Amino acid sequence: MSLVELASTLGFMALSAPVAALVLLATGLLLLPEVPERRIHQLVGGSLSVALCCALLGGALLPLLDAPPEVDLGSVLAVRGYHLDLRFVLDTPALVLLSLDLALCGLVGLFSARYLHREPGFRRFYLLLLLLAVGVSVIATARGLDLLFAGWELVGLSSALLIAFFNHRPAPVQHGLRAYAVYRTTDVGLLMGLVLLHHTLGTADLARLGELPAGGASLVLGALLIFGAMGKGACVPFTGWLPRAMEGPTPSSAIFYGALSIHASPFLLLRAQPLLDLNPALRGVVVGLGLLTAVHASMSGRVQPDIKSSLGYASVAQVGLIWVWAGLGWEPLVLLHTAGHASLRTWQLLRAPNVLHDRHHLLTLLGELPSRTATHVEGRLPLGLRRVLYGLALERWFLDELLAGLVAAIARPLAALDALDRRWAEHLDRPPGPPAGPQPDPGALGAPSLEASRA
Amino acid sequence: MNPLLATLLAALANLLAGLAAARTQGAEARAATLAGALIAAGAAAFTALPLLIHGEAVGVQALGLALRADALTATLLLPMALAVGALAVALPRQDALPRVMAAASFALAAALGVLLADTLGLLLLGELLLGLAVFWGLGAEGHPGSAPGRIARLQLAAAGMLTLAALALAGGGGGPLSQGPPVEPAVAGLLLAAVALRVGVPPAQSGLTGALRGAPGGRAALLALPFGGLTVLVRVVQPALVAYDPHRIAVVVLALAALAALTGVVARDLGRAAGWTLAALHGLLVAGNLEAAPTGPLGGELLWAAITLSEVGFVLGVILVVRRLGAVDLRVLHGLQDAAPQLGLAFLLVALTVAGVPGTLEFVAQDLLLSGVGSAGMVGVVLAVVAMAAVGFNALRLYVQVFYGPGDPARVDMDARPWERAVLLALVGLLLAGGVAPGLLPIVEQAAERIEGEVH
Repeated sequence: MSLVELASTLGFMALSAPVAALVLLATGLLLLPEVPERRIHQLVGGSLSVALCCALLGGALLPLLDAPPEVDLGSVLAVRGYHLDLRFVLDTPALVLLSLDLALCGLVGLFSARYLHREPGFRRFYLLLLLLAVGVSVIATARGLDLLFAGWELVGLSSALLIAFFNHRPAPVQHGLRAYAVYRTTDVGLLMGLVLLHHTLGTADLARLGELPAGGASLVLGALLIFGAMGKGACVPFTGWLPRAMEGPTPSSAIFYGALSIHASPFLLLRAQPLLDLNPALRGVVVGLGLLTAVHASMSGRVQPDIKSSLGYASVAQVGLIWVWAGLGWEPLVLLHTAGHASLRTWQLLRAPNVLHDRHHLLTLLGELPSRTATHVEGRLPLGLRRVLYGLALERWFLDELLAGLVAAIARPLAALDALDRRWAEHLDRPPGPPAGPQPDPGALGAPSLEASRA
Repeated sequence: MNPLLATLLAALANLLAGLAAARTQGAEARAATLAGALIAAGAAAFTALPLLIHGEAVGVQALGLALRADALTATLLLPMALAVGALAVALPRQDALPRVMAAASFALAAALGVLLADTLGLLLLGELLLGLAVFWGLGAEGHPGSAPGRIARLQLAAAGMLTLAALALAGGGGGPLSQGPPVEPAVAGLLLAAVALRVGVPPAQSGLTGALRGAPGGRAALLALPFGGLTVLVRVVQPALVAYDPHRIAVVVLALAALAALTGVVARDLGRAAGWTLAALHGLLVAGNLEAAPTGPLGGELLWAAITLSEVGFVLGVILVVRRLGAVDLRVLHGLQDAAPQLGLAFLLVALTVAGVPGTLEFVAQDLLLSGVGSAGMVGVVLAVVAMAAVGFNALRLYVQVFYGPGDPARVDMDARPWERAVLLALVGLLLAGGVAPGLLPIVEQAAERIEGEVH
């Protein structure tokens, strides 16, 4: 077996181990009434450990190879002019994100075995954790934009369901839906970009983006991919969903919004670098959006009353900076910052429930806590300006209100259309002749049900 | 066995099953319909395998009738049979009325006949019978909470009249469709309008939203069998309109589908939201089948095969929910998860197949459809993508609003029965299998060969 074949085999194992575990766990949960918690986290931990070892070994072989190894599983569907290929590439950015994904998911899996012990959604959590691991693996290694989009969708779905993990409380449920709405909105850009790429190059291969001419299609495609990345990256104006996403269990907050999901967006920008090279204006847009997001998140994060929201905004601020590096084309810095920030933030978020304990511990060690106010830049600003900035930060730059107003403006005529359609149906379904006493309206809420009959 | 003969026997078996179901009561009607569906599912193997192996359509002309079993027949036979079988098994007892079951069997028999018809006259006659079967089924007695669905019946009647007008305009249509020239554009236009009314493409969505509103029952489930009209679209309308830039019509249909999908997101009643979602999906598949680029119709046909299964599962899921909760107001959370965890899981999986998550046949079909629409311009793509995004969001929203939220401790034993769960999961399993290996479907293989042939 040659080195290339060995690296490809290792890559295949790194990709397939979490998929196999996901299928096994899903089948077990569907068919068996009870699966012991220990078996679940052993399966998840074992599969992710195997996959991580394979990814690291494959990474170690990379310097010895002339070209990055590939895993080619053939085509799901191939007709002329259309291919949906299962091709994965294991280049340096892919291996960095893949290793990070497997290591942090494995870590969070171990942590959650105790944290979520006897929690009713224990099995659901691990299933969604594996779904995330698979989704990020696909994003990291996808050779084509269509495959990357598939991974992107899996991450979005698992993210929304994990935000709504504590599904008895209305707030997490609403926040999960809100996050999913943002994802679907920005996914429109990614999907349109996919179609445009297909029709411009006849393929979705990301490695061939550089073949596009500057301007025209490449400019539009680049803009669409940037829009597609804005949702998961919680860029301005879509930042509002992220602090609310912290309603989910702490381990999922750590892995999604501190570590992996949020860093998928700069990774997409790395893959789109050929388009940014062709169109410098797009670099300006990415840098501008990144800076704006960093400033917004930094300001808003400083006035948050709870540790998880504060950490959420801190994550967004760092991702904003990573967007700046991506806009400037500094790939090594993007990868370094992503790996460092993801690891640190995961640790911080996992420690977040112990923040009071840590504070007491620090107080015992030092005798007093270091002063914070003196080190803050805003302390040097005039009081009037500080008040304005404080108000702006408290209101999160009014971005949520702005988006809510926009959504309401779209929803109003749609609701009117629905009401019109309902009235039309009710009118036609009304029995002929004069009404003989009160008629049950089929559309009325609270019609006879199993529940009602039991009561 | 000859694929043509197998399909004909399946159609005959379902006709007999329908007659038997109409004359029996309760469980016997269900059994008769299930038996017919199982025979059709068995016939699917006899139809698909020879076509996959030999790759050629089988045709026969006798007594002035031309019949033909091709890749479309082989691909759709199994999903259609399973959709009816799923209704027969999983529809709640009070909804599985003999008339509903008989109508499902008759609809399947007519749909199989339509798939085999190779003359315009026979095809449209089959369509009329199919519409008549659903019309008759919609007249079944419903339980007090369900809507009478008069709009759906009106639409079916209007579609029937348009079909008759098209038949008269075409002068009977006796020659084989597969060998003859395409029909006149006026005939194709009339038939397209009939198809839109029949399957509930916006702005004719009121049949679906009206029948599904409140607490939909068994007769509304008949509308979830998207059998009618689409064969006409694929075999008659698309070839006739291909020379007249059908993309413009497709863009209009896509715009209406996007509007329907977005309206579904703000609908506050579970049944109506589901109706808007289905109408949007129907708009997508009609638009795909109107495109001139080969990937568009292929995507449309694949989407048809996929939603034949997913739609029936989705509507069954909605019916199972409203049997437990009554009409569902989507402005509040209903917290059914604790009382019905397995139903929740099955509903989630079915909703995700409707949304076209990666790994399902819908995902591949929608990707192909976008590719086809995109080859004629980006406006259609924008509209299609918006429709798909809204459908996906709405599918998850419906699940969340019904199953999440504070549970009610008074609710006990509301979970799906094993057979209900098994049916929904089997449908999901099939859609996943189709998503992993869509190349095994005869229409995909045939399309690949046809496109290669056109290029060379």
